[in-house]
Parts: sequence; C-alpha cells; structure tokens
Amino acid sequence: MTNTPYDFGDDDVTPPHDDPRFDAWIARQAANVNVPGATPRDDIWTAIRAAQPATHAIAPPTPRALPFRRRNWRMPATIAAALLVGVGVERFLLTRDGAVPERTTASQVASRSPATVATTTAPPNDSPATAAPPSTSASEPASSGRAAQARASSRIPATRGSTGVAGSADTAAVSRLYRLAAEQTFTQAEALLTAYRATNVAARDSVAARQLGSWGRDVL
Amino acid sequence: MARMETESPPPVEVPGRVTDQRELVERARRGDPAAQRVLYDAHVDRIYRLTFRLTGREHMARELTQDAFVRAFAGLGSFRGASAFGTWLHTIAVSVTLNELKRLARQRAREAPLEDALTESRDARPSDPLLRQRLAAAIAGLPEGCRTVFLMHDAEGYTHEEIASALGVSPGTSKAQLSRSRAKLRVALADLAKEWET
Repeated sequence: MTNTPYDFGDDDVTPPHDDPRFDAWIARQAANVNVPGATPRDDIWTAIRAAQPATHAIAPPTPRALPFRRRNWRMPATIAAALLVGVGVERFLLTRDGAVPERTTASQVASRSPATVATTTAPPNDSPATAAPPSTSASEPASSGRAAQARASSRIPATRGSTGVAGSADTAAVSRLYRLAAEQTFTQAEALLTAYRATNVAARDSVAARQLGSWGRDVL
Repeated sequence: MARMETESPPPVEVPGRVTDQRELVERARRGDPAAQRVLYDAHVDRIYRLTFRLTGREHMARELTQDAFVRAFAGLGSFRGASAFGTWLHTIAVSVTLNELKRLARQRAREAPLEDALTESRDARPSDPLLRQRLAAAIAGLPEGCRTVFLMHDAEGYTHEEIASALGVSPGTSKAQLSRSRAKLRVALADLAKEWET
C-alpha cells in the first residue's frame, strides 16, 4: 500500500464512494466531534520546562579533545611495523645462512672498525670482502647509508655466484656483510626512534613528520 | 482553519522585531528558553487542537502536546530545516499521539472493561449527543491512518499537502485515504442517511 508507519487499513474492503451530499454533511458534523476548548498554554509550557533536562543547552566543544581516529598515531605505527618487518627479515636471512648474529650496539660497531669495513671511500667496483659499509653514525642522513646498504646487497649474489676459490672465505665475507647491514639497520632504527622520542609531540609539525616518515621508509 | 507552513515559513513576530524562524530554531537548539517560548506560542494552538481531535480527551491532549514539544526541542539538533519547523512539529505530534493511542488500544485489549477513550469523548462540547456519539464511534472505528487524515482534513481543515507532510505520505495518498474514510463512515452511519439526504 503506502510506505508509511501508519495503518490505513485494507484496500480490498473499501466500498466505492461518490456522494457529495454525504461529504458535505460529514465535514460539518466532524467539526463537532472532539471539539477542543481553549489551549491551556501556560500550564503546558510549565510542564514542558519542567520536563526538559537541565543540561539541554549544547556544551561548546572541548578544544583539545580529539577523537582517537584523528590522533596522529598512524605514522609511528607504520614505522614500528616497518622496523619489525626489517628485523624479522634480517634475522631470517642470517639464520638461513647459518650465521648467528651477535648482540651488538651502535657503539660497539663504531669501536670495532675492522680493516675490511672501516673505509667509506672504497670504489664501487671493489670486491665484496673489501666493500666499504656506510657510516653508522646516528646523525648521518639515512639515505646515504641506505644507498650503501643497497650497494652491498647488490654484490652479495655475485659473491655467492663465485664458486671454487672463494670457498669459506667468501662465505665469511658474506656473513660479515649481512651482519654489517643488520647492524646498520639497527643503528638507523635506534637513531630514528631516539629522534622520534626526542621530538615534542605537541610541537611536531608536518615538516618533522615528513622527515620522520622519509627516514622510516629508508630504514625499511 | 489550521494551516501549517510548507515551502517557505513566514517569519514569526517577536515583540519589537521580526525574527527569522531559522534563527529562532537555532537559538532554541542552543537551549534559549525565550526562543523556545516563541516557537511554542506560534504552534501550540494547532498542536493542541490536533491532539485533542485525535484523542478526545483534554488531559491526553495536554500531555501529548507537551510530549511533542519536549521531543521537538530535544531533537532540534537533528532538524535540518528541510521542512518548516511547524511541519516537523506536526510530524512529531501525530507520531506521539498515534503511538499513545496504539498503546491504549493494546491496554484495552488486555483490560477489556477499560473505558473507550475514543468512543466517549467526555471533554468535548455537547452538541447533538446521540449523533455525536454515533459519529465519534464511527470515526474511532476507522484505521488510524484514515482516521488521522479524516480528522485533520474535515475537522481541522488541513490541506492534503499539509497532511502528507505530517504523515510522510504523498498528497494523492491523503486524498485517497480521505475518500476511503468517508466511504467507510457512510456505511457505518447508513441508518442516519436521512440526516444528509434531506
């Protein structure tokens, strides 16, 4: 019938109707049914005021109360997830290659400075054993370290592909490279987290957020 | 004749100046009692008359009018102004009134000897008591939608457009239901045919 919450009855039982005289008569009579008197305005208004809740007025919004969905939590969560994935991949690769990673910190790495990994000026076509890792300083921009890591990683398949003479020495070099890459990633992650924690959350602006985001992607 | 605003609501007169109804509604939404009182004064007579027509009892008409305004003022935050405030208020009033009548009908079904609120209108003015009682009983026997359309149109003089806005139906539906209501009443009052044939 009609799309309404009200009951209009069944159409089927409606008799046909065309009687203008009845229509005029019923309209006159209907005006005498349930005739209301004067409206008790003041009484009803008093009841309305009494029934209204005391705190009906809409309170102004609290300035610093932000809903959870608007808080800037996505970027830190993304960075943390990326770090976890990176660490997981690194550990998986080390385990698969049979090398057990040492527990190292950035300071230990910096103080170790082995001859095979100390220099940062090695030519691009150096052999893997003498390939120079990027600096592990926390204050250095991540992009250069990441690029060096990529260079080092790109050489690994070639080293693995060189069979015969390389033997166990190459395997040791590859393991060292992996360890260095892992340490570098750890160092960058440590520096990133330190920088993130040191940044005042209230004063963090979009520039800092972009920088942290870019840094996080580089670590990943 | 009661009239609701439909397309463009007329400005409401406030002592000293004319205030746009939209501004009044906004002030009322913020809880301004003065604005609420102005809106109340502008609409209470029609709402009270309608609830009285539908229920036939003064105390019910008072309570339902009060309920309609309380709900309207509390729900002004959801009023988007697509229709006039009066139209929206009528929708609320019709809804609360018919819901209350349904509740009473259910209660009557459980407590059979309960007095019929619709067939015996104690607070109505006496005219021709027998005819009035017959007519009231016949009207009470209509389906609620038909009864509402009939009373709004024939008793209170609402237009079909106004009835359609209040009930959420099309004007054509309102016309059809009025015709059906009259047809059913004609059958119910057939023994009084000499009243309208003379």
